[in-house]
Amino acid sequence: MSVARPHRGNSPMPEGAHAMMNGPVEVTLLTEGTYPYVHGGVSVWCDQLVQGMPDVRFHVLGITGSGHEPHVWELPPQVVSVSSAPLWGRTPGGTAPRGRGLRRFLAGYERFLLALLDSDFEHYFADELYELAEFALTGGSLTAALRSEGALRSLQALWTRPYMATHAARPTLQDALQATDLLEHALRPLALQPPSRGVAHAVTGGLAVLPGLTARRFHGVPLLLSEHGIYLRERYLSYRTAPYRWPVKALILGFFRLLATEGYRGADVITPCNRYNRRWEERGGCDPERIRTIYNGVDPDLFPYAGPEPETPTLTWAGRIDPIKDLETLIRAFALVRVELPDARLRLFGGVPAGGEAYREQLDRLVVELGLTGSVTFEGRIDTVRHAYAAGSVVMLSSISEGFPFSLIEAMACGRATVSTDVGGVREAVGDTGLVVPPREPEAMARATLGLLREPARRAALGGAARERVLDQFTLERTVATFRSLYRALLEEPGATSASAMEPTLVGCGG
Amino acid sequence: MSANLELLPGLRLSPLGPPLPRPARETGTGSAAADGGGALPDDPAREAAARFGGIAAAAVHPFEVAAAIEAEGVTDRQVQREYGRLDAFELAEELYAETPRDYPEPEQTPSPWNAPLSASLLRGLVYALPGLAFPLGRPILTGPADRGGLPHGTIALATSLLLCWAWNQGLAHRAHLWLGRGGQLSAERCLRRGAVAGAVLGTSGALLAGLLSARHLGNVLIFCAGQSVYMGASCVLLVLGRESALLGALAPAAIGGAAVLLGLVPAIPELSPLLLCTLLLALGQAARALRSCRGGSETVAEDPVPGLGGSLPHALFGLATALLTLGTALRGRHVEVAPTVALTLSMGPAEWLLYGYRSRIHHALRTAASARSFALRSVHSLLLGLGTYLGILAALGAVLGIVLAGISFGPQLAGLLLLGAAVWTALLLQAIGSAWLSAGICAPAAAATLAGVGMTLVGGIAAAVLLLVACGTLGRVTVHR
Repeated sequence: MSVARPHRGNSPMPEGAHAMMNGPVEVTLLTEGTYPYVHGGVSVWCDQLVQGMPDVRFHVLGITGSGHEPHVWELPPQVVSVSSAPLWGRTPGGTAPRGRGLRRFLAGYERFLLALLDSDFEHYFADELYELAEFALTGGSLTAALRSEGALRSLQALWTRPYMATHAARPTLQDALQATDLLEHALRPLALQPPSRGVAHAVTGGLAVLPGLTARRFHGVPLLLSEHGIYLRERYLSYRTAPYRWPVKALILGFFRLLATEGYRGADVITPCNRYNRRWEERGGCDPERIRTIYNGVDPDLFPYAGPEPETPTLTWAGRIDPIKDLETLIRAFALVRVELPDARLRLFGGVPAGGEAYREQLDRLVVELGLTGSVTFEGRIDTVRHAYAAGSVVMLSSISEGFPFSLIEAMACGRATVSTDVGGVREAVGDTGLVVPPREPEAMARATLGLLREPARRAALGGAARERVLDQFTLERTVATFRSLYRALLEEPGATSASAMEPTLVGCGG
Repeated sequence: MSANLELLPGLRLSPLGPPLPRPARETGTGSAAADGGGALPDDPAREAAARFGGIAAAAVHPFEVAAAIEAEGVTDRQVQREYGRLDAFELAEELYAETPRDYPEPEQTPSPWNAPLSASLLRGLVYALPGLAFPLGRPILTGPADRGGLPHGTIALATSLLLCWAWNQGLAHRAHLWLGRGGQLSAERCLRRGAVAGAVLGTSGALLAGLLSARHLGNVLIFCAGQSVYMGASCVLLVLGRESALLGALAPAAIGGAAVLLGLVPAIPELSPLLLCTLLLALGQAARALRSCRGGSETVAEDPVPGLGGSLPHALFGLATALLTLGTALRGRHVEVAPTVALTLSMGPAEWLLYGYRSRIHHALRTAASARSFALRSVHSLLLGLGTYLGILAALGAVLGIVLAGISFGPQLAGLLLLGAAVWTALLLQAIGSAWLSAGICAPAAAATLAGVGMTLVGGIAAAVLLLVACGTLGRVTVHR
């Protein structure tokens, strides 16, 4: 089946792309703020992928903050290069074009802005994005050009026109400065030399897709896009509390939305880690034929049966202490559980990320307020996370947003019954081997948990079924093998990898 | 879940918004099995609007509403059950279309330029008070006139003063760069080493100038060494915001000098230990300030400190202003202090007026509708600041002329005001980040002064050029980012 490749344009397929097929497969992982610079989440997934394919030559192109972040993962020999592309750091040098050059640049830039601000002109976005990339890749300083007075005046003149949606919000020059600043940082990855061979594999949506898109456009490199969370959704949520006025928000979120669209249209294959996320991808303009759900997997040997449960009824939780995990609901639910079972304990395993101290303190206050001191314990970061699952009679997940959570399938692999919130791919992961409750509802969570705590036989049965489900559907081996075959297929015949036939079938995920 | 990078360093956005109004009715069901059924509420549209209307009004796209619906933990199942719509997207589109847009304003950032006048006046005072060391030191600085007829030691003193002034301007700029990036330890190291180097530079400059200009050096060299050390210490204290400590240290010399000037005590060499006293106090205070800075924190800056070249124009501009200011004092064969003192004292209000300009720009950026109207407001604001400054300078000049020289120096006032206009405008350009422009215009002016061109001419041309350049430069929006 062939797939529409809207922006292949007339750029010729370089000879190198085919020649590569006889040598080792080359893959450039495009990351943003994750592997190999932070622990957990998407980084774990990247590490699994890299470790699982010693025969592939991996390059990592990581979009980072300052560019001074240390590697926190030990890189295996198959990772042959790591380069970091800082978003912040020193303002890139260079001078803005002048005279006719500047006028030409600004004409394109105005069309680009128009696409971001007015849905009737969205079709300008892709062409103008690649124009900007070409400008940056052929020696122009995109930063200097965007920071020029001319670029600022273009924006101010454009978004104050009476027929623009931004007009009613009365954009100020300060808004124009802020919006330009945000846009300039967001576009810095366009100046990166994109990979020129092998497969470009963006492991997240968003800015990491930019070098993948330019690689595809200018070198014909096939692009694979894996989404764990939905980058665009998270950007919408984050910018609700951002210190910007409406026009700034409209412009930068317009950019993120159109970037997502272009990623969905331009990628050869999109692999969400659950079916729930497909909804966003399809809404974002992605051809369903090119979407292929690939679930995360665990190594069952690293997460064997956890053995007997603790003596006292114990709930455990493992993860980052982060507001998105909604531990407040978990603690409130536990307070309700403890009314019925005064012996019960709640043990929370996980570190506090930098900047998250305030949230941790807020939780401490809640524990005191609910009179739970002593029965709720923060255990800190744990090296062998399976011990955290083993320590519980029931393993909990209270997040308000998830992709396909590792902590859940790991706990399932350990044969523990789980209570989790109905977000993202949770229902697909758990199926009928655990209880799923609506998020942010402590009463529902408490009811489900009490039910399990009172019925040891049911717990054991669910735990056994959960392990079976993981062995059957969510093994690491399976995930790695799927990506390996995708890489090969993309190199052999880019565009022929779409396969709704390959979509995994799941039983018992509640419809 | 990935932790996405924010686009700017220091920008921290939370994916969790403020909680939305909860639906009135009990919703929780409990387990995976018990999820179906349930009748629609009476008016699902109204209930959805009550819950998500605020989000929809401020949203920039229906997707934002869909994201908020999902973040509230409302699943598609719940959307179907409770609101009778297919999924979050359908509900979001409807809400977005039917809710009139509202543009909530983010919390106003207060202008960072609202400095109290008193702090600036205090700074003006500590700039000017060291001048009182000269009447106090005069008895120990007596000797044969320098070559060229200036009083004994003038050239050595002036050279040392100029070098220290320029050096400390550059040093202060660098230390501020570090402090601005949260690097307290680096700022401390920079100030400590820089102040020592400045003292050595000032002393050696005096030695060299003294050897070339005077027949014998005597106490001049010691005085210059003390002056250089004092200037290093005062630079440390001013950068670290210890103006009042510096004022305290200055007290002995200032009181002694004032007493001599007012004729309350005779100018005798026995009073010179007061100078030593001020020097030691300033040194002690600077050491203390550095020590407490050493106890501070060092955050790794996301934005690296620019190279030394970035501080060069600040030093050069410092040198140029020092030359222009001293040039007004060293007229011909005598030393005329009133204009210099007036200029120095006016530096306090000058700083305050710079803040005022920036505060007005802060406001203009948030209210001007177009780049053109902003440019006009910038020029207006510039002229307002400059006019106020010149008014203050004229008053100071007139009063000091009568007090210090016993005469009104009307003819000199024009020169003083032109020079003041040039210096204030140059300071403004420097503050907005055009340090090379300031240095590039003031340095030739200073050179012309050295070559003997009159103050009125030099000041007039420099002020006119600077004003034109400033109107052009500061009318651009992007220089104020």
